[in-house]
Amino acid sequence: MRERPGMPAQGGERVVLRYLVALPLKGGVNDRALARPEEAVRLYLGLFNGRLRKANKIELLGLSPKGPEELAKELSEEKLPGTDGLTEAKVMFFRWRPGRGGDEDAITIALFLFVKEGDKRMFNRLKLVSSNQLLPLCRGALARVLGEGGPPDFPDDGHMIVVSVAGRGANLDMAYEAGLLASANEETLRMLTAPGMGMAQNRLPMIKALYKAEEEEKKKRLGPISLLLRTQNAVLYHERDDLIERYERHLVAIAVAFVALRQELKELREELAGKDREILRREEISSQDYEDMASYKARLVDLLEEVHGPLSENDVTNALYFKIRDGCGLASLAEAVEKEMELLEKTIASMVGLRQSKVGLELSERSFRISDALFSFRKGILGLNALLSTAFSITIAAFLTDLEVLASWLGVGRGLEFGIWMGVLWPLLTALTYLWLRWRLEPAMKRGRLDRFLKARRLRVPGLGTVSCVVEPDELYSLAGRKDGLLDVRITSDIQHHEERGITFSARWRAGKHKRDYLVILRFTAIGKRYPISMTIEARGRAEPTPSLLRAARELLANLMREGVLKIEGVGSVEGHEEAVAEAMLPQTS
Amino acid sequence: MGTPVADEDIRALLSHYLDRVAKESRVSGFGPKEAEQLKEAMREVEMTDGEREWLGRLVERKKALSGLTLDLARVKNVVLRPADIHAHLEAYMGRVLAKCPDIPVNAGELCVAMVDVMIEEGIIRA
Repeated sequence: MRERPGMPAQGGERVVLRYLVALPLKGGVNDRALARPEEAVRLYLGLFNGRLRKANKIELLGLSPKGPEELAKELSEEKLPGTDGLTEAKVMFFRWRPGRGGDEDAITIALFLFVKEGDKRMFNRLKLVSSNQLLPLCRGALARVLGEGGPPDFPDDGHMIVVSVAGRGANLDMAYEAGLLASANEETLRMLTAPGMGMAQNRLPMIKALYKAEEEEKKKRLGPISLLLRTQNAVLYHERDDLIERYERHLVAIAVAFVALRQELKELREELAGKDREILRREEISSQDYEDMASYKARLVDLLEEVHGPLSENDVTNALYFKIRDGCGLASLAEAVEKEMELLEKTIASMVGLRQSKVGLELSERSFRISDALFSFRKGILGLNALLSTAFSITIAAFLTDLEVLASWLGVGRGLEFGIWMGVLWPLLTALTYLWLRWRLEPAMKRGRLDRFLKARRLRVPGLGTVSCVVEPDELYSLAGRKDGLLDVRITSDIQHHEERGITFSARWRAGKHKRDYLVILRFTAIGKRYPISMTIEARGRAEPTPSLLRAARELLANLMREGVLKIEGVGSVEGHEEAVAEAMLPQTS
Repeated sequence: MGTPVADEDIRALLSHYLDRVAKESRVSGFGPKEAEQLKEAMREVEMTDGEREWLGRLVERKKALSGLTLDLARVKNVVLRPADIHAHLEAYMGRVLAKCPDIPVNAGELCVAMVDVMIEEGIIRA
């Protein structure tokens, strides 16, 4: 074991405890008073792999200009709790900028290293107990280093504590105890100070059980070193302190990355929760929500790449980082954020679905009302037909009776003559009026109509892969102005209702020998990406069965793609596949 | 506030908690012998004004709870929580422990145990 300057060699077996505490700071630090020796920059930053260092602009802002022994002495003289046996204290500051953020999003991380040494019988006095002792020590060190301005505040969580236990007098049981107590919260501490828990035979099994209960599989080894892992807390144990000391720089780099990535995941998680609350409060989803989701997703992908990627070019750092990442909760936090993202996406998708069903219901109701009105109109017309024919036949019959045409020929009375004329004229005039009305009205009443939702995103098209479709309304207007297109289009209306826009137009085209003529309403999202929502296609003046209307809808969609009104994204060209894309856009519903 | 609480009353109260912690073996390495040593050392260690004020409130609340008169209004006004007391108690006990370098007890752990007993007795609300 290393002999420390100023520490007289004493009898008995010694214990060395090292506490490495990494904390995110609220706000930045004034780094003017800090030292930034090149050697330290090389030592700590040199461990991060180039890609990660560049992507996050990782910086060493500086370290305490006071020597570790001098700072430890000052802290001991301050009589802060937990300074028994304190021989060294170091403070370092790092800056980590999130990949997609600017300087204002940078995370400043304060890293503290306390070394405590003493006789093994004094282990209980050397160990630091919970944030009650660790944080005042960190605050004291920060105040000493940063001077008058006062130390910035620490957030309540997001820290990382690594405890190393070494020395001839140390054992694995001490490592269990020192590690657990350093990160224990009030509730755990209360359990450990319940009556009878001060006795070793009760206490140690309890502490080990807490490790096992929480992280049964997380007790690992790294070469000769024993490694115990709990949430946000790693413990290293080996008899030789010089061996443990070699891990210091690796642990510093790992703790910085751990705290920064944890902070980024935590922030993203809070934003997702906020978005979730916002969406559930509103009735409608706008394209802004899709864009937000896209940006959250991009951030998560970047973050996951960093969390799951190697931290360093150095094998020792990587091996230690992956063990700590899995054992101390960073990997499971990333997994939780991923699940939350998935849930939020599903919420948005189901709300869009509900919105579309609502639109569909409104359309059906409208169409039912129109049919109902037409039926009443038709009944009214038939009634009018009967009335007119009766009125005319009475008048004409009365006129002819007055002329006495049949009376003089057949020698019948005028009353009978009126009856004969009525018997002939009434059915004749009824039939004529009916035929005339039918000739004028029937075409107007005949119609074939089809409403269909359109699938626009993640369309799986054989031979093309997965594509999506957007509407280009400008192209539709330009098509309406031309006569040389595949489609002859006349726009009747263009209405935007909240986030939905609907263009009504008549479309004529040729399919082989046949001429097609339909009235079309194309609805699509009005803001941002204009994804098609639904289409209504109506055959005017003739009845048409659904299969024929579906065929016409497919032809129309394919022609709209050829004319550039529907733009297909995710593939270079769809030439020759327009019908297949149109087929994929029209979901088969019974 | 009523009349100021005497330091001796505070020490007597803390001694009571040290005895209970030792008797119930709540902290490793802390038995009746160590409790006696600490009680002796406490007489030599002065309290700061801040410590006196907060630890004095403990005495007031203890008196109010164990007194025969039901001084409910006063008890209600003095609501103490672990966070109010812990830092002052640990700072004071830390200085007391510094007088006894041979006692292998961590000040933080000892204070958690003392506060725990206070919660059990109802003078601090968890």
